[in-house]
Amino acid sequence: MTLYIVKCELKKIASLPMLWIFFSLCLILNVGIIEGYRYSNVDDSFISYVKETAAITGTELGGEFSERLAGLKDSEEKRRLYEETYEVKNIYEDLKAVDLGQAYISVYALPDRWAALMRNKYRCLQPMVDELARSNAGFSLYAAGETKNLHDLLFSILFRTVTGEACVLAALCMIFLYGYEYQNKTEAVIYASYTGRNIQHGKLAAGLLFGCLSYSLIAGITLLIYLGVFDYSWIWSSNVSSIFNYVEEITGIKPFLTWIPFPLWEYLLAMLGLGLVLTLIFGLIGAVIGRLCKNSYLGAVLFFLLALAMMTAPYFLAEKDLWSGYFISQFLPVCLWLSSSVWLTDMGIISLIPFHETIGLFGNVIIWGILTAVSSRHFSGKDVLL
Amino acid sequence: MLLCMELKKIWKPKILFVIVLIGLLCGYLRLEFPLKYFPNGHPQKEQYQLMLEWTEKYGITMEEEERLAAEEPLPLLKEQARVLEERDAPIGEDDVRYQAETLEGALFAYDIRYQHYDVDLENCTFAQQKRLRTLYDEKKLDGLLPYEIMENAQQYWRWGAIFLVLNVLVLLAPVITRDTLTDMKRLQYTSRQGRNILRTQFGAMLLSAGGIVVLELLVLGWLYAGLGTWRFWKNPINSFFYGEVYWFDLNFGQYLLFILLIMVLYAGGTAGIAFFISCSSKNYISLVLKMIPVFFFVGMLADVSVEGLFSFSNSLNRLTGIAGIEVWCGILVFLVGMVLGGLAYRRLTRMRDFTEGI
Repeated sequence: MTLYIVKCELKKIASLPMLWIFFSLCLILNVGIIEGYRYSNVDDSFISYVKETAAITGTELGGEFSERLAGLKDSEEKRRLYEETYEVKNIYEDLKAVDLGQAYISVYALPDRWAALMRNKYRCLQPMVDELARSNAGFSLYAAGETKNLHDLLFSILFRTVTGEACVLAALCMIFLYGYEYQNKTEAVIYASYTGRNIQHGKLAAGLLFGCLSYSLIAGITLLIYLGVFDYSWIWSSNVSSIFNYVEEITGIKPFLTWIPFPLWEYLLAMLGLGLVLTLIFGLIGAVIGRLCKNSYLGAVLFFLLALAMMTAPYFLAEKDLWSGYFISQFLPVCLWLSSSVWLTDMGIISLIPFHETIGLFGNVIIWGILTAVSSRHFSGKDVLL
Repeated sequence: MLLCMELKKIWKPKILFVIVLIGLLCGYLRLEFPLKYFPNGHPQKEQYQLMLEWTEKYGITMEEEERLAAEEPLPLLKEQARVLEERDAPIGEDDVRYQAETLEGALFAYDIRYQHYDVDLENCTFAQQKRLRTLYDEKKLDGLLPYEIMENAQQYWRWGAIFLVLNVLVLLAPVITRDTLTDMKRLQYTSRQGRNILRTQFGAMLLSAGGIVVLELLVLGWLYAGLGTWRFWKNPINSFFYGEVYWFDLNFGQYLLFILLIMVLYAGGTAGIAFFISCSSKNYISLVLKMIPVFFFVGMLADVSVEGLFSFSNSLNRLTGIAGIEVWCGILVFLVGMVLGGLAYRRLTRMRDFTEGI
């Protein structure tokens, strides 16, 4: 019976023509982003050259790599690659993670209590730095000098856009489902039926399922298009902490330091998994709002207002020197979405603990899950005629 | 009477409350900076003060003889700066070193204002070269205007334009959809006035868009007036002190009025589009899914129109090479809005089964 309800609820969503138009617009936007960024930032010919060269030289930098590269036919691309890869140092050998933490403490003038936590986080990162130094992960070729551009496009811009689109869709569809009976004046019929108010469980399941589906479709199609434009077949095994990948912050440039070593394909899978969890959280937020607001329009506007408030919170709290509030606010779903480009890394000033995003995302699933359960329970007990 | 009722339906307290909240949050995120940090740091503060002082002394432009008079305090300032430098004195808030540097820089900019003719022409299109030649030949770069004032105004009002588009959409879009959902259309269409009510509703929406424009401009204008930039109202925007070149010989006040005109055009266009999407939506979520791309597209256009308005560096101008494209773009959005509104009206009034929607 519940499965039948879920199917019916999914049908309601699928019968929205605008949903599919919106879905198509999202894909058009994503293609526009890929092509726009490629046109203005990425050197295609150099990437092709690095790919061809990697087949001969291998993908690990070092003396052998340089020797083989030196033996290749002279060209502009070769000169560039040679300059970028000749006698590179293992930056992780001398890196003291605590120094990175100290830079944040100085620039943001963190109070002692928070400074100690920040230092502690970077102390926890030191074993990973040592591991990177030992494994020569920094010597991973990735896409050489174009690494930063490719990584930024895929993980900073595209991933954030895709998750943002899926999150909005998941929340709006949940609000749509919860407001559907009120909007179509079928409340009395539905609530007087055998299933009655239990229909909300079917709605929740259908909404979450739709969230997962929309995320999988948008992310899957966009990734396929992306991989059609940029050939990644030769760099999947590159480590994301390659010396060519870095993060630019107010404290300066720092390596892309993840909490565990990640080959590119594993990092992508982990990010996609976390993105799915984020979409589910937004689905749950939509469920809570949908339960509170009978009017779907007001619900949707409230959702965006809540998102805006979450976005504003860290700025406001940091400006008022309320550091405890600032660090807590970084666990808000919208803040987690905004920081998605540095997920699974040290995350700089944003976080005080390792795996901030993972803890934050699963914590949010629990919190919003509880709030959904509470609102459902409240709805089950209230007089629906009021 | 009917118009009043329609206006009452639009100006719902709940939606107004939401708009105020959005305004407060967006304002905090985007408008606070240009208001709070203007002039932003050194030597911008000194440059602003110097231009204000010169405007009061010499008027809106500076002549050669006035330049000589303006140079008089420079030796003394430089001497004071040298002494401070020798003493290794820490740089203070009103440091004379900034003043000396600013005055020297401003005089230098004045001296070379017509000397980099060939250098500028190299990177310009034919139309831009023509414009530059006119500016140089007709000596139109004598204006006094602080460096930061234009960027600040553009930064502030571009976000104002985006919020205006958002506010118009949030306020107006649900009106007709609400009528559809509450079966109000059956009552409206079978009344004596019949489907002509759509004309009243469209009128009410345009009036409300006007109302929200007036309200927002009053609030934003009042906040912006606090900066005191109105003291440069008559100063020409083509200034020797400001690196940007503009297509038209406007003064700062006229420039601000053009920004407001663009905002009005975008608000009107958005109102028309809001009427169209409201008529064509059978439920609120469809409506919101239409509002998002409309906001994205129209808001982005409003943004790129106001940012660098009428300057060579404006994105729309760089793309098309047409002087004043920003205003044309605003007019186009306005017309598109009106046409879409008209189409929705025509379609609904001619539809046999009015329960279908469009």
